[in-house]
Amino acid sequence: MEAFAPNVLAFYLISAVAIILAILAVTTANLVRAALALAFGFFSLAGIFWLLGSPFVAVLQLVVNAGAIPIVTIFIVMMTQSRFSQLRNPLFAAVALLVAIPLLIAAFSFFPSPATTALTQTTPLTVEALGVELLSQRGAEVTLSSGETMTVQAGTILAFEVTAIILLVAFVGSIILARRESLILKLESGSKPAAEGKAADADA
Amino acid sequence: MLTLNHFLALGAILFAIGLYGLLSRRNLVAILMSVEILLNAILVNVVAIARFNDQAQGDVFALFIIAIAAAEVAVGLALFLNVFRLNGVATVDPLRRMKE
Repeated sequence: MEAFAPNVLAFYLISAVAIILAILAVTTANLVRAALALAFGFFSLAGIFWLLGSPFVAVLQLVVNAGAIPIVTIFIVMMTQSRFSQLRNPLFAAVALLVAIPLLIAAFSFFPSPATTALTQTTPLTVEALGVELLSQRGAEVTLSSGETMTVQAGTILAFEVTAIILLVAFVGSIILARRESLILKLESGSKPAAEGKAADADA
Repeated sequence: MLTLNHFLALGAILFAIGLYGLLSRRNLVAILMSVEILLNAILVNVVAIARFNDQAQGDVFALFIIAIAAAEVAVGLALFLNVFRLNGVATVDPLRRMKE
């Protein structure tokens, strides 16, 4: 009876969809289809985060991992004309299994104490509490809109700002790397002319 | 009853799938997609452990993982574009000469 609780059913359904789509994403030869399977797989993982009681992480998963990353991936599949990808030796499945079995054993044996806690006994993390944790200093006393006071445990305001700078540097760097008259192409031009490298030389 | 072990098992299975893709694909974009699956397996584990221990740090860490993964994808894809321009294909095969 208990096995058919709504959240248990939702967990098994979402997990099955996510695992099948992940398998499709790593085995399909057509990379556009693989990227699409990846997008829907991440979409279903957002359901897992929602189930866990982290609505903000779920929404971020939808926006970034299920939205932005597959779109950029499909762009680059088109730009590098690599719609089809062969698989190497399928023996690597054995390696993956060899890693997966210890991980599964660890998942079921090394975390014994929380395993007796059901998901329904945990408290969901509100977006407000997450924002306070993210954007405050450690140890600060903050009064939430509900009136209760919380002490900040994480306090990652500095790491948040550093992450913003890392994103900026990464995006500017990728623009510079992807320019047609890129520095890398200038260094290597002449040694190995490629299809687009020649076109860039002709433009210059 | 859903316990932490359910979510850790899901993370382990996704990690194995991502590892298989990482090892068996030749195309660089496909390898990056496998890395994304690995990162999401870790994300499931981090958020699950944080929720079951009732700590907010895990969720905060998950946000940083997502942000760094986005930066990694942006830089990686720009690099793959350069590999394609230099070699005409975006696979690992022309990169073998880095060993020589």
